[in-house]
Amino acid sequence: MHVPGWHEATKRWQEEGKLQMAGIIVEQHPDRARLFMQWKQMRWPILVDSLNLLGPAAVPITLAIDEYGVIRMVNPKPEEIHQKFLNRTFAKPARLPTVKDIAPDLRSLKEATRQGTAAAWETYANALVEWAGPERLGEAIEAYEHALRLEPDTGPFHFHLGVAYRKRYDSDFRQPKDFQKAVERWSAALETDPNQYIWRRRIKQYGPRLDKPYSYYDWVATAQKEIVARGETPAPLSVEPAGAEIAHPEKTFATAAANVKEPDPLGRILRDDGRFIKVETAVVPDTRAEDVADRVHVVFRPNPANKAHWNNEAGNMVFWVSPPPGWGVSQRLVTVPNPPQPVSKESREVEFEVRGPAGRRTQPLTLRPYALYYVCEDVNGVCMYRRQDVPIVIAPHELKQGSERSR
Amino acid sequence: MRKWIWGTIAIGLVTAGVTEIMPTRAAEGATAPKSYSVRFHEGQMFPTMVFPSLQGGRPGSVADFRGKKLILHLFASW
Repeated sequence: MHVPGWHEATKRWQEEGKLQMAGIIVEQHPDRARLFMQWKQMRWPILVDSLNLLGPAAVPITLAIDEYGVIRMVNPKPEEIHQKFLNRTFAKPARLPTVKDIAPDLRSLKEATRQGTAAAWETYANALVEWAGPERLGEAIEAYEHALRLEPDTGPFHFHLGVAYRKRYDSDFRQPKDFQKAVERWSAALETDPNQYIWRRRIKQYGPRLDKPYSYYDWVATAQKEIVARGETPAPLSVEPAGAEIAHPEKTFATAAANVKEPDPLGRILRDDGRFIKVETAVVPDTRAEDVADRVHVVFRPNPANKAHWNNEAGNMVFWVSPPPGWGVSQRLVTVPNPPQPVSKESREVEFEVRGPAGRRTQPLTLRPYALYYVCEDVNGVCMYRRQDVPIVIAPHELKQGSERSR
Repeated sequence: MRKWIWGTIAIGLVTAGVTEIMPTRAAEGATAPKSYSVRFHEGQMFPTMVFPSLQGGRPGSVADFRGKKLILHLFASW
């Protein structure tokens, strides 16, 4: 029974004041749950645990909790609730823990790190991530790194550090390689505990289609449309899901046809070495052990230092990737359509998947795709057509031996 | 979101007799993988940790709901 179903099944008791409904969400992007609640017209309170500090291995979990905060049923059925929960009287515990509903005091938590324990560093880092805002994610990352230096094999430290890296990547405070580092930390966490499905899912969210049980966020566009049709404004999202997050699963790897014409086979177009467009890449591995693929994310951002911007009055940006013998890619030529306005400064993302031959266990592979685009320097400045080579290293998959299959 | 089937895994995690929320080992044996996952069980006081509110209000804890029976969902919108 999923959450909207629970909401409907217990609506009467909620309205009669006999039962409260609340939630705790464990996603990387909590605002998506806010949109989901609006879409399903569920108005009960939700707390945010993106770090999964509560620690369940998977969700959803539904708990029936009595008036004193004691769990009385785990994953009950809605039809059991009236008789086994609402109609029952539960004893008050001898001692109820007191709770202060205030954010932790960051200064005292920082002071506690002087003890030099991994736990103190991690507690401080968690508090920074949850309460201090994106401008202090760098400090949180340093605190997690302190904790990991003291206890390098602790899975939650790796997972939390990955969450912090990805949060910073999604913020205005992003640093180069933040996304790739998030994936690496999540992968390191999963190596310590392959049965932690919430950790596994952070990787799958951005990973290859072979590794997806279903599309994770394809509901977002439908929700936004239906909310607008109701005359409401959809809850804003800090990051619109795209690419891997809305991709549908596939059971076999669909290799792109080879008869596509390469746009610059002789490499004659002048290079942009990052002066106009900054490029960042991340490779997200398959979390399964066999028949693996990787999903490659490539982001292009106009360089603000040179006031660069896209020239949309010329042709579209294209991205070319040619796999070496024995390897397959999902697309060889990707076209990124221009937005309607004549110039723009948005980030552009290209995603593709790559699958190697069986037994790709030991050696990394460097792919050498490139992008071709029209870009201008400064407002009313010089516009030009440029090529940027984007070397991408695909790591071997030997480390995944022994990991369980998630499906 | 139409597949909330992973909740069934949580049912499998329920073990009687554990009185506090704590990291557990998934299985006995020298080669068993380490588990950092937590189980919830009947009779356990739900943790009183304070979390940010999705709706942007003041920080909250499940203990705020004391005084009335509560159905609590740990979930994600995926």
